Amino acid sequence: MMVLMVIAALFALLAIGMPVGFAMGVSGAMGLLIGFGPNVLVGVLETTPISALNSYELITIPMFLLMAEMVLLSGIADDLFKTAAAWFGRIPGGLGIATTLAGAGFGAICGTSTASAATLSATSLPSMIKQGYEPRMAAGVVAISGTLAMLLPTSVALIIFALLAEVNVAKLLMSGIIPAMIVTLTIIATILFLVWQDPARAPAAPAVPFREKLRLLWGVGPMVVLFAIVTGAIFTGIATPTEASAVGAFGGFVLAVLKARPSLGQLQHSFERAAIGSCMIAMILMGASIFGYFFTLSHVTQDLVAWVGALHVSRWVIIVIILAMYIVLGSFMDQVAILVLTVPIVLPLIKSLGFDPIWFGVVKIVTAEVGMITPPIGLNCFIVARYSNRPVVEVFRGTMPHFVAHLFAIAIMVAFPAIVLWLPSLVHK
Amino acid sequence: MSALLAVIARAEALLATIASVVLGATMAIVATDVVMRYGFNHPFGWSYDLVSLYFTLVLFYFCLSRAFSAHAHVAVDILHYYVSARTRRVFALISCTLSAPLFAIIAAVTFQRAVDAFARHDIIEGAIEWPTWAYLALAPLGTALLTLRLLVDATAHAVALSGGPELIPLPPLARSDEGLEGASFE
Repeated sequence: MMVLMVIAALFALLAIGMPVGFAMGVSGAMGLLIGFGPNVLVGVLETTPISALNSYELITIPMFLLMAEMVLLSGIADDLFKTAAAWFGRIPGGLGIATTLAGAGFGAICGTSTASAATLSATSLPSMIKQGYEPRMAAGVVAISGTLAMLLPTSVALIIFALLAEVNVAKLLMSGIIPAMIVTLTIIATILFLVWQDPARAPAAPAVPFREKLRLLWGVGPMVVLFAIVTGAIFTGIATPTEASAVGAFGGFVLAVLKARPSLGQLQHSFERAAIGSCMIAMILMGASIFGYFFTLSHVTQDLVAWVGALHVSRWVIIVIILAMYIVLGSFMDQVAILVLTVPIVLPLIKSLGFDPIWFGVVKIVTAEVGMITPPIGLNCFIVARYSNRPVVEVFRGTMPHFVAHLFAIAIMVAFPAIVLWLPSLVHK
Repeated sequence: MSALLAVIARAEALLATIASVVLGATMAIVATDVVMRYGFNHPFGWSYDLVSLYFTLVLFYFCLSRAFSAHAHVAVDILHYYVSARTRRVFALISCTLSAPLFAIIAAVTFQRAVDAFARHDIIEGAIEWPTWAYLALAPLGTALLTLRLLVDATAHAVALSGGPELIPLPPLARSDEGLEGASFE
């Protein structure tokens, strides 16, 4: 009864718009006070605000956020689309394919979906519209391509999952690469299908001289080098993810200074944005930690695992129900909120059913990608609408074919876990 | 009230600037440490403790109040699209009023912990003997400022609800133009 009351309080606080970290902290503290007394509450509040944050691995988040800020500041993301467009623009739907590849490339060095969607909106969407692309289709491609950032090695969402689930950060970051390739191919296949249905949706762009193509390719070289350094260092075990993220941020800083020559004010603004973003994520982790103490002391997760174990239902049915729940939750909650609210409860269940937590993390993030484009709150669609001055309904309509295609991609990853788990099995410890 | 809000905003801006500098320092120290370790086999013996004990807490606690006043913390605001501005202000008032005691307790108990550690001369052993109180003191500093911010905001919302001037604006809706300007990091 007390547990239900605390969960109801949590949802009530979330519903009135209290920040997620605050709501988890307040409701968790309330549960600890009512259920276990003031001494337990004081004990938790004395230690958690320090212990939840005194982690070297936590630095990976501000470093990757800073890297993203620096890459944005440098402006090299624009070149990425131009280059992909020069190479693929000639084929029908080519600019859409270029947008997807630019999304994957940008996502590899900027692990936030929203930044990726905003950048692609500013660069690729006007080019596609100018080329005569159906606006709905163009907007949909941009919104979905932005989500690729959540799966690639600089993904902030994957790091949050790793910290919550206490799994190896390096392995989790690597595990997203092959699924990201599958999702990229899924988006490209969807574009080609839409163009096959109606070629007028995406006319081919004019040819670009080969010499110009090579020049553009040379221009994006620094980004490829940055990605190779960060990912290569993590994969080979030369550096920890924390060290690799700091080197990546430093590389981004050098790129920004050399390419954009930003003012001190611009640099300070970018550093402050990254610091505040990190604080926001750390606040959620701290709130989740307080709430987690309440859940642990109340034996909620153990009871849930025991209850599900007694159901005699196939584990595949349970995983399908969980993933369907994630897609539904994604239609009205932010992805970071879903992660911190559900992972501490769902993960013990996943482990008890014999699934790999790294595999689950990646599949969960792919469902989060779907959530980023699902009405009524899919954030990427709002960002694309905002930056491109297109109606948000049009963007949502444009993402519908990708929503359906993503369900197939998720089914493949669920049916063949080796797709996710093969690469991390090669990571050096 | 306006003067108090201005003082709090100035304190938040100062702490956030310090956090930004610390973020830059973290980047430089960790990246240089990697070069020193793999290039010269001579890593910094002190960087791990400095970053994990002090810098992580500075980054968090020095931005905590600023992130709140800048509406940067992730919130689920779907209900806010369907209610009046007055109801949203009531929500904001409840949110501030219920959050303030949590952060006040955290400020009080962590302050006591820092004072005790100072009195006992607690240190963390290592290449450098790090004083424990110095990083423990960061938590009460950040949470006390946030508590003050929450109490003042609650008062300002109450003033606005009772027909007085709107001293602070309502948080922007996440999917409004203003909200998307500072979109979260998903």
